[in-house]
Amino acid sequence: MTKKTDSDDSNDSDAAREQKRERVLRDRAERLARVERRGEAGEVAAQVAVIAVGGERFGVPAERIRELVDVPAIAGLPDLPGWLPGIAQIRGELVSVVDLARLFGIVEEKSAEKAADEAPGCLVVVECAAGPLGLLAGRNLGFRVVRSTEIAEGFSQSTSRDERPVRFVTRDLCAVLDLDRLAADERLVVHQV
Amino acid sequence: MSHVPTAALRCEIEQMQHQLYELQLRVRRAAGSGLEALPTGELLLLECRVEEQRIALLLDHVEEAVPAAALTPLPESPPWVLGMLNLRGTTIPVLDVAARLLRRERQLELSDLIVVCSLHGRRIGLAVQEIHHVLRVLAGSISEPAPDLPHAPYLLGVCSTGTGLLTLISIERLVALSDIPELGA
Repeated sequence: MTKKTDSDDSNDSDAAREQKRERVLRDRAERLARVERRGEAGEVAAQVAVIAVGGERFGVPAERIRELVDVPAIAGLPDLPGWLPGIAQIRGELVSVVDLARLFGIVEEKSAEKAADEAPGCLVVVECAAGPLGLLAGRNLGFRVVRSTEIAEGFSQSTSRDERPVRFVTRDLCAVLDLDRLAADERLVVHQV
Repeated sequence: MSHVPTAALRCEIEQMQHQLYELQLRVRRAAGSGLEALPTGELLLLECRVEEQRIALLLDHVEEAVPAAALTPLPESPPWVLGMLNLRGTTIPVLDVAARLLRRERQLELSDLIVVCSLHGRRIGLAVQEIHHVLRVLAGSISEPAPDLPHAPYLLGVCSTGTGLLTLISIERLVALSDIPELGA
C-alpha cells in the first residue's frame, strides 16, 4: 500500500473544490434555464436592485434608486429608534439612514460565509416624496426583473398584517420594498431639519 | 548557408510588430467609428469591478444581473467569448470583460456575476467580478479616452470619481469588435 503524501491531499482537495465549483455552476445554469410554467408572459411587476441584508434578500425598485454608495459616516440623533441610526451627508445633502436589518428584526447571528457575502456594506440612496432616503444594506447582488408570475401567492400589501414596508415577496424569497410606506413613517425627521 | 546576424533579425521583427500594432489600431478605430457615442446630459452608470479595474456600463442597457453559471462553449470562439447562457429559454452570448479589456484569460468563479444587457433588441451577458454602485454623473464630466490606448475602441470615456478613475465601457463597441460576425451583426 502506498502512503498518501501532503501533496496528494492537496491535489485531492483542489479536485474536490473544482468538482464543487462545476456542480454549483451547473445547478445555477439549470435554474436560470428554467422557463416559468406560465411563461415569461407575466407582466413586469418591478425592476429591482437586489441587496443582501443580514442573510436575507431585499429588492429595491430600480426607478427610485438615486445611487448606491459605500457606507458614509452616519451622525446619530437622539431619541431615534434602533432602525434609524441617524443621518448622513451625501453630496452635501442630508439623508435619513434606515438600517434594514434592524427594521426587519433580522437575527444578527450569521455564518462566516454569509457575513463575508455581506462585506462591504453599501448605502442605497432612494428617492421618496419627502426627499432622499438612505437604506443601509450589505452587498448589492445585482438587478432583476420581477414578473407577476414570480410573486409568491397569498402575499400582498392588503393581506400583510403588520406595517412592514414590503410590496410583495417573490417565490425565491426576495422581499420587494414598499418605499412609500417606509417613507411615511413619521420618525424620518431629517427633512424637517 | 548564409548567416544573418540574430540582432538584425530581432530588429526586423520588432519593426514588423510595430507596423502590425499600428495597423490593428487603425482597424479598431475604423470599426469603432459610427458606433455608439457618449450620450449627453445626466447619465446613470452601473459601476462594476473587472479584476482590479473599475468599469462602468450605461444603466439604460442593463436588464439584470445573474450569478455566474455553467456556459455552453462556442467552438473556435476567441478567449473573451465564454460561451452561451440559457436564460429562461433565451440563449445569450456571454463575454468575459477581463479577457477582452485586460487580455487576461480566467475561468468563471462562483462569485462572478453576469450582467445581462440589452442592445438593439439583442441580449448579451458580460461577466464581471463584482457590481458596486449606481452613479449619477454628467456627461460633461467624462473625458475622451486617450486615442492611442490599445483598449480605447471599447471605451466611451474616463470619469474621475472621488475614489479614482472609472472607465466607461461601450457595450455596443465591445460586441461589434468581438470578432464574431453573429455577435457584431
